[in-house]
Amino acid sequence: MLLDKKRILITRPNHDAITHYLCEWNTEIIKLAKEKNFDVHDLKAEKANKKEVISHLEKQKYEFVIFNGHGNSNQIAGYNNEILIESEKNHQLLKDKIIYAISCSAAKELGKKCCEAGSKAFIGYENDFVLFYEKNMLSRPMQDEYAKAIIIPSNQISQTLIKGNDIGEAIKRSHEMTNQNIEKLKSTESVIGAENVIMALLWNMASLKANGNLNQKI
Amino acid sequence: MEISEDVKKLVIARLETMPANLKMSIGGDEDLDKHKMIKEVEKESDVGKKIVEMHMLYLRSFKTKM
Repeated sequence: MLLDKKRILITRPNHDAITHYLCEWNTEIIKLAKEKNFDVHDLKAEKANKKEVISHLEKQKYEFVIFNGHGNSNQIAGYNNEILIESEKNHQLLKDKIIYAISCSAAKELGKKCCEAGSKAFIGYENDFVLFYEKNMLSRPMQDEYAKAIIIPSNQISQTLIKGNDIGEAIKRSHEMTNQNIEKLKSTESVIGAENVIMALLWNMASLKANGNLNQKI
Repeated sequence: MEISEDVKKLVIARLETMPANLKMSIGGDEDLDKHKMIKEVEKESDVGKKIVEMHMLYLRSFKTKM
C-alpha cells in the first residue's frame, strides 16, 4: 500500500535583508525535506502572501509549517509584511500542526493561542529574533560567516524534526549548536566583531520557546 | 526599564568597537549599523533598550561561568 507523503508548508518572503537571508538559508531545509521524502510546498517571495497561505492550509493537510518573516506577539507576516496569521482571526488554521515560526515574538501570545486551538506545538521566539550580517554580503548570504553562525542553530530546529526526532530533541540540538558556535567564536580571535554574533546567539537562545507537547514528532 | 548613565556609557563604548561593515536586524524596523545603534541607545528607544539588554546578557554570561 502506498502511503501519502507527509506535507510541509514553508513561507519564504525575501523583501528585506533578514527575510532574504532566511529565504536563502531555508533552501537547505527544503533540500533535506525532499531527501526525506516529504511533500514540500514552498511559498517563496511574492507567493508568501495571505491568499496562498490560507488556500494551502484550508485545502491540504500539513504536518509541519515553517514561517520565515516578520512578526509580533500576535501576528506572523509574509512578503512585504502582509499579515498571514493573526490571533483571533485565523490562527485556528494551524490546528493539528507543528509550527516553527522564525518571526519576532510570535511564540509569546500567538504560539499559546495556537496550542489552545489545537496546534500540536508551536516553536518560536518570545522576543525579537536578532541577526547580524555583513552589509557587503547581501548578494551572497550563504557565504556570510556572521549570519551563518546565527542561522544554523535556528535551522537545526526544522532539520532535527524532519529527521524524525521530537520537539524536545530539536530544542536541545539547537541549544547545543548555539553553544558550539559561541565557543568557536570565542576561540577565533581572527573574527572581528565576533562578540556581536555571540550576543545574538545568547539572545535568540533565551528567546526560543516551544508551546505544546515536546514529545511530538512530525 | 531605566538605563543608568554608567551602563549606557559602557554599551556605547562597546558599540564603538563594532566593525563598520556589520548590520543588525532586530524586529521589523530598519536594520542598524553601529552608528544607528549608538543613537538608539543614547535616546533610550525601545530598540536601544533591547541593545543594552543584549550587551548585559552577554556580559552576565561570563559572570555565570566564573
